[in-house]
Amino acid sequence: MQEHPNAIRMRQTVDAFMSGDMPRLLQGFADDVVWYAPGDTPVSGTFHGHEGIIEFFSGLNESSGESMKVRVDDVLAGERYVTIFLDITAERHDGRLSVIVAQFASADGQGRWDRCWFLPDKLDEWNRFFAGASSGQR
Amino acid sequence: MSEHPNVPRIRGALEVYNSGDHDAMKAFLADDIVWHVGGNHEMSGDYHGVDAVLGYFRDVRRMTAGTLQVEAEEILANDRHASLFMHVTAHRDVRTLDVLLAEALTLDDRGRWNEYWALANDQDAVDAFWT
Repeated sequence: MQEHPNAIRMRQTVDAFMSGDMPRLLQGFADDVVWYAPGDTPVSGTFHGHEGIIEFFSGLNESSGESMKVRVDDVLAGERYVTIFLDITAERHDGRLSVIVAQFASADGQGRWDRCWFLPDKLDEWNRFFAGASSGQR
Repeated sequence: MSEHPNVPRIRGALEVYNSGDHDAMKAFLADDIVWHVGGNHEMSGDYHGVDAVLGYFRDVRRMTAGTLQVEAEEILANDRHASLFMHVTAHRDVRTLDVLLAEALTLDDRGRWNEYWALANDQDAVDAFWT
């Protein structure tokens, strides 16, 4: 069965992140995107606009010692919403991370993500791994 | 595109949930379900097993005097996963909750829920409501 266009677009967004292509990553997001990330870590809070997207993804890379690996497990998509399930692993000298992240997004009229939720299943493990720096609403 | 059978099944579960007949919810939940409640409030934590989850549902209903209602903006599902974009409203004394929750479910081979996790568009409001 052919994938929904929003599923294809979300796979492209994840691929852009994994290849470190920030301009291509940002093309997928509306200018006024809002990104919600839970927990109590440097990559937690509410991030606004393309600057917020850069801050979040740069924070993921830096805080994980650039060790993060992402595998797409499943994608669910409709006309307005899409959810991608990601197996995420990372390893630093002081700890390992292995979580399933449900990344939700709504698409605006141009097919760009305008609201996103990034949610690890094991939030305690996520917090432990990324602990050590300040967090908060942005 | 035709709707996956798990979509109407979930819609039915939400109707049962809103009715307050939590014993009937048991039919939709796997015995070993894990229910993660995020945030930083007195209901936060992981609930293991169907009895613990039903107890959580009853506590929520009691604490909100039965006012908590869920309305799905969209339900996406296949054989293994579901995601719900859920408008949640409730009252608790003078407090009011009105948030959009993004919810993820893993499903067993009978379409029953075996893991749940969620995030609100305003987690501070959720924390304040339950604290």
